[in-house]
Amino acid sequence: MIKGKTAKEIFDLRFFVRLGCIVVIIALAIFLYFYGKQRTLYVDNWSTEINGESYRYLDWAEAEVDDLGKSEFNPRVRRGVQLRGRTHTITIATEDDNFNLIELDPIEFRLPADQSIISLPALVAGLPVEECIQEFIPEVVEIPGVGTPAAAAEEEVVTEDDMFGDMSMDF
Amino acid sequence: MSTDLKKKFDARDFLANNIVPIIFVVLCVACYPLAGYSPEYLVDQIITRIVRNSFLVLSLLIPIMAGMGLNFGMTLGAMAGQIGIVFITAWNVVGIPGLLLAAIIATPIAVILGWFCGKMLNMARGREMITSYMISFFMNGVYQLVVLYGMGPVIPIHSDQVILPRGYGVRNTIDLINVRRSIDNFWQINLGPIRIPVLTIILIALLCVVIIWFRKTKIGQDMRAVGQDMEVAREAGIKVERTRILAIVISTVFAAYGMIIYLSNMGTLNTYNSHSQIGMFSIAALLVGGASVSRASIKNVFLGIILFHLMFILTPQAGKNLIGQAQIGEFFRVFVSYGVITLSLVLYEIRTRREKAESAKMLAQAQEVQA
Repeated sequence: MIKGKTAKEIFDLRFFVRLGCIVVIIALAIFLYFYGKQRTLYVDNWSTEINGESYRYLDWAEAEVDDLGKSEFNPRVRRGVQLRGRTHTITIATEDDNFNLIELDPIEFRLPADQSIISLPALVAGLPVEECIQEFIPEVVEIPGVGTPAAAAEEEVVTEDDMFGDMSMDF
Repeated sequence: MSTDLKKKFDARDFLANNIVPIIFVVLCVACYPLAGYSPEYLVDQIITRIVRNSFLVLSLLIPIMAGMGLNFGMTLGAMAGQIGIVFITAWNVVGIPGLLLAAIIATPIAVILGWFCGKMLNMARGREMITSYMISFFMNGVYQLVVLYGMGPVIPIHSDQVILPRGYGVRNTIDLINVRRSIDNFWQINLGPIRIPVLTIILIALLCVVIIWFRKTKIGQDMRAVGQDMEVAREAGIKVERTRILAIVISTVFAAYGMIIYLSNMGTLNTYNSHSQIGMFSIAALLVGGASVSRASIKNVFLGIILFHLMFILTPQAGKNLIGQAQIGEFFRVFVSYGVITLSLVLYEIRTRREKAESAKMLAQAQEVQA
């Protein structure tokens, strides 16, 4: 076929070993992508409205995502945690009106986006976790005169700052 | 007989062969008291810089073994490593998995660039160093075209952290906070103020072992034969061109991995500049260690990095303490670094001519005796 080689000579053991190596490396790359990808989850204790129903913020709560340490949540507090992988667990403790401690069973959830937000009041109210978590889209506020989109779009790219092979920088 | 075999110590020869490291040792010894740094600080800095740069400098050994001189084309590998880093930053893949993924992405790019460089160098036999230097310039243009205009619209990267606000092109500087010192911090021992990154040292030791082992393999022996005499190697049935391409490919791939380690240690990527200095710095460090265009060893790598970085650390402070200006030390360091490369190239040329003249003289004497 190629330079007088037969199909049997081309597709020999060496060919399949090489093919196997490439497949293993691609599989490893895919695994590393999903294992190492970092996502941000905001745990939120603000009043919220889901499916037309309002959920008031909690007066006090303590939450822990995976085993990353417990955090206290006073009213209108939002904290971000960096997580690897998609499936995680949140453990919540709060108080009722009579200051009795209520501990919820650990809740397992999947992150829907690279940046997600989970509502503590909705979770405590017993809403399914899928409804309590959604993609977080940060609100962009333009401050007059500071960092306008037009100015940002003109960010200068410096490609010829230094001579090629310049040795005046750190190594 | 044994006394005949033993070479007599010749101070002149020793001086001629080790002039560059001797100059550096003298400079460092002179600058040390002027700089006023504590030994602990210096040791910590040197260890940090050894683990940062060793992989890059070690990548230069194989082309020297194959007689291709100093591979200025290692910059191509550095570019491949940077592309891998850009991707993992855009995808937000963090820590050691991120660096491994960057290495996997960089490998095929480095192989292709190395193969291209090797092909070119085979066409410009005898002028490998200047050709590889020019290829670096050429590839730098291609890299900038891809990174500045290709990333965004052609290569889908949408991360705000990486892409310029205009929607295409990579930012000047990328913060590598998510992978910074991941390998170093994974397993680190603290001896007082001195930090020893064990995992990175193991990786570097592993590369040294691979290089030593590689020299003893069939392909390694072929490379040495090609390095000594291409025509004799060809007569012996060695595929000279293929062996030379392989040497450059291996060097480029190692340089890509070295760049990933370097960037993870630094924690910042200067998208358009980082790679452009790396080749020159690595070559200077190797030459400072006593290597030449035709001969280099692992010992030269480590000695070179230690001396080169000692100069890096000591001269600015020595200049500041001596004259009140750190800048003077910086200038001094820069001109000495470039000077080292020039001196090494000149010495190599002188030595080659002297060896040629001596062998011609010996041949003439042998012919006279025969006559």
